[in-house]
Amino acid sequence: MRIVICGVGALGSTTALFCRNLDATLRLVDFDRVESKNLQAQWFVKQSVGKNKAQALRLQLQNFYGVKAEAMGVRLSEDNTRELLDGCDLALDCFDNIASRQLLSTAARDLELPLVHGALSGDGTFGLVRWDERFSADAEDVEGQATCEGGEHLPIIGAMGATLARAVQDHVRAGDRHDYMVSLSGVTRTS
Amino acid sequence: MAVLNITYNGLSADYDMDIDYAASDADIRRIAVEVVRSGGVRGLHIANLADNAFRNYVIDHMDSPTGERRIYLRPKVPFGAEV
Amino acid sequence: MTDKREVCFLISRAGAVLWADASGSPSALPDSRTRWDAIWRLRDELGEIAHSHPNGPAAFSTEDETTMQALDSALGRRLQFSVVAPSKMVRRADAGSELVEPEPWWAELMRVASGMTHDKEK
Repeated sequence: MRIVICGVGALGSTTALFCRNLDATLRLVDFDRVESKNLQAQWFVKQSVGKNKAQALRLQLQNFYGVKAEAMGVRLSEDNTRELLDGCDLALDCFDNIASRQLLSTAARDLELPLVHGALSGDGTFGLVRWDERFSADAEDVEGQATCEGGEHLPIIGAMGATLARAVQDHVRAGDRHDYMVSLSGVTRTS
Repeated sequence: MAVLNITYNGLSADYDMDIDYAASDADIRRIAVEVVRSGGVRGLHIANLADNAFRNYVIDHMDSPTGERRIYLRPKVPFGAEV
Repeated sequence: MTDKREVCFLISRAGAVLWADASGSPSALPDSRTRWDAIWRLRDELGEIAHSHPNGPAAFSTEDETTMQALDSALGRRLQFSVVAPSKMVRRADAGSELVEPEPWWAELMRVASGMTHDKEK
C-alpha cells in the first residue's frame, strides 16, 4: 500500500511521524523549504534547515527509524497531480490553503482515490478530520497556516496528527472512514 | 458517553457521542456542525451546513434519572428592548 | 404606577394565545428553556411569537433579530414575529418591520399584562 501525504508542514510532518509504523510506503509531497522558525511546530530537526521539506522528512524517517519513504519536492498543480497520486491507495490532505485542497479533492475524485482531509482552525482551538465525501471547500474552510508560527499550538498539532494517523490506520485495517473533531479538551468522532 | 440532541430545520434528533471529556459549549457547537454535515444524525443530513449554523444556539446539560448524560443544543429564545 | 415587564405570547395560526410568560424586567425577556419547550411543543400550531417593549421602541432589537434567526433555523420555517410597544405594534417584514394596523385583539391584552396601560397615550 502507498499513502501520499500532501503538505508536510506542521500537520503533515506530525502525521507522517505517527504513520511511520503502518504497513505502507509513505509518499511525501511539499515544495517548501525548512526554515528555522518551522522547528518550533513542525517535525523537523536543526540539520534539516534549508532542505526541501519532503526530502528532509524522508531523511529523518530513514535515519531515525529506518523507514523508507518517497519524497516529491514539488508544488501540486493541475499538470502534476495525476503523476503525484499515481500508484497511491490513499491520500492525505495536510495543505493549509483552499486552492490546493480543492485541486487535490478534484483529482482524487477523478481517480476514485480515498482522500482524508486534516485542517486546523486559524486560532488553534480545534481541528477537523474529514473524509472527502463529506468535504466541501469554501471561504469558511479552516486554515492551518496561522497555527504553525510560534509553536504555542504544538499540543493541538500533535493531537490532530495523532487523530489523522488514527483515521488512516482504521482505514488501512478495515476500510473505515471516520471523521473527528479535535479540540484541546479531547477528540470526538463525528461520523 | 453522552447523548447530544440537536434541534434544527424542524427536526430534533439524538447523536450518541463517545466522549469522555468535558466538552466546552464551543466544542459542542462544532461537533454538532460536523455531525449534521456527515449525516451522523438520522434524518438531519445537511452536507453544506455553515460553520456558524449554531452560533445563536445554547446548550442545556441534563442528566436523566438513570444517569445518562444528555446535552441539548437548541436555539436561544431571549427577547427584549435592550441592545 | 404599575410595574412594567416584558411579556411573551405564543400565538396560533388562528390568532389564539397558546402560551405566555413574563419577565421581571421592562427591557429584557431572558433566555428560558421553559419558553423553548413551549415553542417546540406547540410548533405545529404556532403562527406568531409576540413580545412587548413596555418603554419602547416599536422596533426589533439586536437580541430579537438573532433570536428570530435562531428560531427560524431550528423550526425550519419563518415564523411571524411582532413587538408591541406603548402606542404601536410592528411585525417582521422582508425588509425590516412594518406597522400593524389594525392591531390583533391580543395586543391590548399584552399592553395590560406589560403594565403599559397608563402610558398608552405616549
